[in-house]
Amino acid sequence: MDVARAHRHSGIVRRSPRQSPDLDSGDSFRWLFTTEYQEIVRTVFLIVRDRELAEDLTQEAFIQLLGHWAKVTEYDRPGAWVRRVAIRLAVRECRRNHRRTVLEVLAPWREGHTSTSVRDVDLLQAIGSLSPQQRAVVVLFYFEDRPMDEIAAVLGCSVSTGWVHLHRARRRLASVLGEEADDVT
Amino acid sequence: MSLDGQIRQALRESADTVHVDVEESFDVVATASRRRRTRSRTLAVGVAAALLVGASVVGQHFGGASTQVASSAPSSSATDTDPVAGTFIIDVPPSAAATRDALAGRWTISLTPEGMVAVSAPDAFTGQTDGGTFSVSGGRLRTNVFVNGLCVATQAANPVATYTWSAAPDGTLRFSKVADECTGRELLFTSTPWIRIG
Repeated sequence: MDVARAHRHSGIVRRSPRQSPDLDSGDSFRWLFTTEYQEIVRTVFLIVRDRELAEDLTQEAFIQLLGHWAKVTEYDRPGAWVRRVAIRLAVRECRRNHRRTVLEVLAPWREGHTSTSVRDVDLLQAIGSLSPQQRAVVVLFYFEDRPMDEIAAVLGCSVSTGWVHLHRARRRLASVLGEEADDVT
Repeated sequence: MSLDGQIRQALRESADTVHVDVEESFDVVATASRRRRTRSRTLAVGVAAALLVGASVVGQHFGGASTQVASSAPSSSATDTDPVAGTFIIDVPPSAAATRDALAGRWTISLTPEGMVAVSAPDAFTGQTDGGTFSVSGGRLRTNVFVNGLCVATQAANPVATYTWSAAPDGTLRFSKVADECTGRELLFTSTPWIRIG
């Protein structure tokens, strides 16, 4: 049994250069990139708090998408795949850098928000000080308006764990703002 | 404004400050992807060449003795791969280690009689699913699969793993580690039996 036959037999979709999208033409990959890239960068930015890093991670996610293109292009929502990869890369990157001091971490937020109110800056700083997982849940819940089951799927945790992260994050944010952490609305 | 409203507003305003050049970024991705593919092909050719040279040198050194033992990657030419050849599914359970590297889920791995390994990963896995080669000798299987993907971070001194294997009457394979410096690969080989589907 040769390799190709083994792949056919197992149902594996074998990738080859011909199955990768033609990057020089207006194909579906370019369309996907154009429609999704900026929004994914924004979401990733809210998690990693660094614009260049957000772009790097999002670009890495799209490069990985190209590597899996033959398979992912058959999905109903290929954009969801690349978004999930980017978010997971962001959370992983935050975990790696979590030991940095809070001041170092918050510097990019300060620089980018000269026009927002002191209260917003306080709030963004507080979000920035959350654990990577809590921050990702907050961003996906409040910025992307995703239901918790989707958030859990993206982050690879259970739904109940996702709610725990959200409630702990809200409690912390409420204390920073001097407010009561009432029910999620 | 409620706490939730304030959070939403602050995040939206923060996100709106981010503007990107989509066309320029597309070019960056396209170029990096081409480079990565070229590097991957070059690496494969380089490894193959190194194997040939290594096998030649070792063969000369030992006066024509088997080159399999001393080569830096498994060679299928001198081994009988038929006992393990086939296509298998591996359902990696969601342990802490598996979840950390997004390895949990169903993998499909083909071991061909020619000594090639082809891999199909679960959707959650985002790393490279490069294949590799394997050889079988004396109840042991040696392979370099995942050396450019899952095992890159390990930076193992020896990229080749060695496992003993046993086959059930229905063809299911069970592996036990002899030597493997890559923990992710070890998880795939030993966390659960490989169920033969072809």
